[in-house]
Amino acid sequence: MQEQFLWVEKYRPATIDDCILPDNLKNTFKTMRDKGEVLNMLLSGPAGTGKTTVAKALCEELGCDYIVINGSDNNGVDMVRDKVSSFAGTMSTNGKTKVIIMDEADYITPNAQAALRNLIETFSANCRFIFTCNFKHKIIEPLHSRCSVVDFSFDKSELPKLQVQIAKRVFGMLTTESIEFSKEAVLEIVKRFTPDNRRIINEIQRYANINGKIDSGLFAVVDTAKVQNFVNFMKSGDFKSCRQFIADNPDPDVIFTELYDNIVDYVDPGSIPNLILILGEYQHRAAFVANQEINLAAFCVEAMKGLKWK
Amino acid sequence: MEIDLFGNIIMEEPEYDVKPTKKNPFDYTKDIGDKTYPDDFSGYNEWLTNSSFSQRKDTVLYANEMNKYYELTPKAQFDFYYHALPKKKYFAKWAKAVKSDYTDAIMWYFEVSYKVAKQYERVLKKEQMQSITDKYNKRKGGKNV
Repeated sequence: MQEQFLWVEKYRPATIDDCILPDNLKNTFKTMRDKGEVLNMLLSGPAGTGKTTVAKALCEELGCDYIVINGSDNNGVDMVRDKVSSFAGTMSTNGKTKVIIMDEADYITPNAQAALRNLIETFSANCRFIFTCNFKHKIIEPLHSRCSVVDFSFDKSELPKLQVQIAKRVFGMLTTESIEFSKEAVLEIVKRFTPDNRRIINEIQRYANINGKIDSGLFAVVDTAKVQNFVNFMKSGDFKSCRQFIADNPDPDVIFTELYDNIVDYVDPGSIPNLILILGEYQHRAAFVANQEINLAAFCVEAMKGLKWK
Repeated sequence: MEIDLFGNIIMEEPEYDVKPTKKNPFDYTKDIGDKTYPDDFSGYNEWLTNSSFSQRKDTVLYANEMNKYYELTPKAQFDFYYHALPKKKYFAKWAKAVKSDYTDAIMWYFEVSYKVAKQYERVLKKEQMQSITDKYNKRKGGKNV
């Protein structure tokens, strides 16, 4: 059995009821579970919101034979044909529908996505596909039309209820792990990073590993220091270091969300409106571009030349 | 000169290279800088060309335009760079992610992407990563230590 070093894996919900999701979304998956069927689906939304977790929970509860293929590591036509065909081409031992969870499907090349279109039809009697992605625009139209699209972008009004649920889950984990904790510190982290549950749990475990207990010192070690380094590279006009930072931190979407709070104090007040417009423009573009790294690198150049620094 | 049985001169046939030489993806970046227009775009790779131009401060904004309009044909993308950028050598050293000794093992163990593995790497203790790496090295079909 796999040893679970990470709380995010150890406490990963195994049932749909345990998943932390808005009611309407949860009901969608409960209905599928109750009907005993898995549809071809495209689950789209920000990182850490539970797309892969709910897909796995659905398969587990229905007793389906399933595999997870990560699109960011296996994204070419050959991978798609080989892995998908070898799994979907055989009947499952229990006679139930097989499921392929294609994680981070927005990293799969358009040619490989086109190949998948045919494979969905070829194996339709035996296998269903669940695609997860952050940016649904990057999934080709023929795949959209073959799947039910489920959006995990939560409305702001739904967040407080989710925050209560994730906070309770974290309290439970910390109690089970016998880690002393301050409720206020946990709530603050939950508030800050919701709906990215993976990030919340990872930050808390990381601090617990360092400090042995969870207290207000947690905020000092939350990983914003690295974003500040990035801002300093921009301020000094050092594009080479910015580019290396981007290559080393494969999370441009997370960096974008943290950037404003880290950059605003270094910018001349007269440049703040321009900063907001540049940041807004590049965050908006992030949903449409093929390569997130290039978009963040381009942001750096715009910020370097368009802002007056303190 | 050789003559066959019927008295015809046997012409020596020129040797043809039957394997068409396909251009390397980076040849197109060089062509853009040299202002050499290629006949064939079959070897053009949008991802690599855009990444290549994103390494330089003076070309990254152009790269991001093609990054946004990635559905354009290879020829259209090449033409954009060809006509927009001046003649120049566009070589730049690539910024590459530095993988730690543990990243591959974490990706394998938790079946997660590079991106998630890097997040996990920050949380795991060194001894835990070592234990995962040992399992990774002893896995079936893997490197045996």
